[in-house]
Amino acid sequence: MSARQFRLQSWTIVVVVVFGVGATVGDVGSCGQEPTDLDAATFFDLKARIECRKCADCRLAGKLCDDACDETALVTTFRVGCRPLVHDGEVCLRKLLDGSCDDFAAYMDERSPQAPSECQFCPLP
Amino acid sequence: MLGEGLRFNNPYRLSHQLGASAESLSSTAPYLDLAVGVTTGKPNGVQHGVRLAWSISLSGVPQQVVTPAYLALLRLGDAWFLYGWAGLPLVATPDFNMGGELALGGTWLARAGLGITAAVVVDGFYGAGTRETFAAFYPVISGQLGLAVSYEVLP
Repeated sequence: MSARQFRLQSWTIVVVVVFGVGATVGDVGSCGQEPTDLDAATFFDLKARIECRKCADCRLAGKLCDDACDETALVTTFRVGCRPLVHDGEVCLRKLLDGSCDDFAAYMDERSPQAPSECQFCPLP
Repeated sequence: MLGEGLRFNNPYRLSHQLGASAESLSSTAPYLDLAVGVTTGKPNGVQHGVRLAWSISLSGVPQQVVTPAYLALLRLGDAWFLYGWAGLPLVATPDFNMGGELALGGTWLARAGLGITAAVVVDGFYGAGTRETFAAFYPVISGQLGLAVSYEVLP
């Protein structure tokens, strides 16, 4: 490179701070994670543990919280026609773990409990 | 300083649903992105270089993405430059994944080295398999707006 060519070069350093949406794609799992059936007993056990702990942390009370903390009341099967995959369970449990106390108050509401869309993997009967 | 991002496939019903069903069009979580780019070349021509970005989601399930990329930059007068990048976003959490990313943006320098920047970013990821496919494909298009600090060195 000649001295003249060298003088025509420049270095630009750019630092960017950006707020946006999109690049964090969400909980899509890993490429190569095979579609394996979710074990109902394991899923409901983990779900109940999360709900019980959240009920305590958020100072919620009621039948749904009592059921979540009652180890003898665990559900061990999915509804007929419902065959979720392991990643269905993962996105649901992570969403519950990440939920705020306000979110959980809605999930455990006695009159009209809500469920995050991530946990709605069973078709309605 | 917020943009909008759209995910065109959503077999696992991730928040937030925009279409008729949870599996249809959805918006992704907002994120904060910090990026550093270095280019070299003719001051008034296309410059080539590298870019490294770190993105962290601001709501929903915690997620961090690191994206190394090739960066091209073109100065348009004293106050403007265009840039684009092609990168490989590496999703670190909650599950490891790697996708592809293309972007085009522009910066207006309000001061010598301080400006406002905006970009349109297109991403593609293959995620966990479903009963229909071995690896679900997630196309995502997003817009972002932020601040840029530019430092130019003339040897």
